[in-house]
Amino acid sequence: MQFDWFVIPFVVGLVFLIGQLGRIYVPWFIKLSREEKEMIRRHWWSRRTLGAVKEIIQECLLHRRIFRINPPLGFMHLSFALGWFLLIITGKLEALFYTHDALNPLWYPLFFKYFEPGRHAFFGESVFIQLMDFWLLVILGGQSIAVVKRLWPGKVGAKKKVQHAVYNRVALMSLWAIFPLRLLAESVTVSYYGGGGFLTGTLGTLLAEVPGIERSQPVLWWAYSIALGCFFVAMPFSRYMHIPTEVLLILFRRWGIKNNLVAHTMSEVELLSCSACGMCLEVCPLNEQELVASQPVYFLERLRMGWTKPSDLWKCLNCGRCEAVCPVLVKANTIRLKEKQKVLPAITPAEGERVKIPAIGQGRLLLYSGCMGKLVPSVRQAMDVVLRHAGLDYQWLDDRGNICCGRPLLLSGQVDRGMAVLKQLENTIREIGPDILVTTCPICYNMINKYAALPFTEVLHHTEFLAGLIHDNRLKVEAHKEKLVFHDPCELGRQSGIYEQPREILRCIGRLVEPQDNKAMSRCCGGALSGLMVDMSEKVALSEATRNSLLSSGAQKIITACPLCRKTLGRQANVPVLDVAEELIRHLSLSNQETAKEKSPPERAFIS
Amino acid sequence: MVKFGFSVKDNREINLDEKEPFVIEAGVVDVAEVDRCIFCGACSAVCPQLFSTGLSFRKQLLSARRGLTSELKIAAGECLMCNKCQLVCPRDINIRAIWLNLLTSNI
Repeated sequence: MQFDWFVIPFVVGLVFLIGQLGRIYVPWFIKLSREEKEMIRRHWWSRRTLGAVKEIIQECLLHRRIFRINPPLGFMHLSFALGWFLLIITGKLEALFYTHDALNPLWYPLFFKYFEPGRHAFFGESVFIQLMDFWLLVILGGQSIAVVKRLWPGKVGAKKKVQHAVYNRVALMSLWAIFPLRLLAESVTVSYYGGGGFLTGTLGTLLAEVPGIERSQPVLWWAYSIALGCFFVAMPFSRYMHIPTEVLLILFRRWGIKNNLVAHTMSEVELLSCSACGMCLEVCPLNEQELVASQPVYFLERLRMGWTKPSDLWKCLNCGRCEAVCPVLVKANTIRLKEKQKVLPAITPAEGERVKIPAIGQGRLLLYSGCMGKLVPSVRQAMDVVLRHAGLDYQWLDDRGNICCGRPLLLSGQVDRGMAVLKQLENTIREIGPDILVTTCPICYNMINKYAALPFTEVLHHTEFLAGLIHDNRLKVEAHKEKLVFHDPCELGRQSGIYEQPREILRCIGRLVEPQDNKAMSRCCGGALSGLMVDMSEKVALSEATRNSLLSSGAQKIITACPLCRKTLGRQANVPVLDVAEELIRHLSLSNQETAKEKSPPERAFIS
Repeated sequence: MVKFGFSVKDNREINLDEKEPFVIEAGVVDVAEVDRCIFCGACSAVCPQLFSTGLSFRKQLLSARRGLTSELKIAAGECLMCNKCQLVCPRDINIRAIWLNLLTSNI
């Protein structure tokens, strides 16, 4: 009988783990909405699953995305994941080749060296022995990087180390104990019976010199089994749940299930897929200033245990830098928004959040400056100048009394009310029925683009519109020699994917220089709408860091495309901070104006 | 019946025993922050809701100081969270955070 009492902790841990996985996963499948279930039914037997398998190998085993950002940390993750996976597979094969029977007890391949000590001359034995030692070496190599990372994070290129909660430390300690204990246990057995590879054999020979070492053999095997059992018991409550959940996440994502404001299952899957690797910690603008601990790695960890604090929810800028670097692609902002929604009471939208003003004449081109348009009227005035210059007929949606797009409410967690405000705006737009809606605010742009149903209207940000006008030669501009730097607003860049159009305009009117952190890694100006509980001193520190980063490029002017960024950066900067439209009116060539005057009646704007 | 733009307002309760309700309800509102207010009215001037619902932070603060707290929660529900008030506030008061705290608290 291949049994010894020391296998009990391992078996108990594994059974407990499987039970817990069932307890967590089965309700997910039950809670999926009908559309999501239909999606799985349609896609599970298709090429999408093959793609998912490929992604699982690349991400869950090889950890490609982490490798790209930080190679030493990539190797650390790879060694644990790939090494352990292959150790299990090779162990299974070894047991199969030895017994010629696929039906072994669960623990038999794991403790093979104990049950079958010495050499047995079965087919491929020496290959298996060396291979098992090699995988163990790979894991131990990765583990040594992990130890170095914990003690001196700077040595492996990590700026900050993650401060884990207690239950995560228990899991971490048992994980770190598993492999050295396995090495010791196998070596001691080998020192007595022989039959070790390059690692266990060498160590076994050395250990054989120690008198009475064979008496420690049962102790070590017990310790190895207990470490495994501890890890399995701690796993469902710790960050190591990401090991099985990430596989499920990739499958769900490939099958077309999305994480949005209405889907709840996917949020939970993403929540447990976070491996707390700490990549988000390094890029968070709030963390660079050593300010707060509300980054996804901490926020999600507390959310798993149900310990979230208000500062976790509202001390976040929603800038999206963490989402841009996340190796698991967790949508932390969406999860955070849903949590805000749960905390806040439901408020029915108040009547009269829109002032009624009689309709103005029909217009096919509609402009919207949003609430910030009132605070930064220069953007609206600049747009007036540009559009008159181009000879276009337009009207402002703001003149119809619409004051808000609803995004501030949405980001503060009052999702229903935000959507109600958007609905009012949407109705007004539909009444007017424009071909093109141009917003001068990326926040409104993002909101209308994502959540409003406007099938007959093309929604554009004003930088897109202006770049289109310049490209079509409807707007003639002159270039000056000034060095301009463009600050990517979070809502326009990372959240809407518009990086090039504003840069095209700036290239036409001046010399565009790029700061150190640009495009997807651009910094937050500090005034982000979502940062509801970020203190003023913290905001000032953020703005200063952003300004310094922008001015490091040697620019004479900071250009941005968001009135909020313009206002926030303008407070801190010692150089002019302007909107793209404001800068553009300084560069309009006069010849165009004359031709525009000749045109009558004004032509409709159209961009193909 | 002809409807005019004005009406007689309902009776409102003023509890004169509670001199400074903001202080009493400490924990909901950061007293030190609210005390910075100089009642300049910049927040009301930029507030997009002032026109439509008459939301005014300084009005509510003044009423609350005098003991009228019944309208606080309604006012908190009117805020659009656009943060323009903080951008113009000379005393850097995080007004919308105060509204949000009032919303999430049970008073």
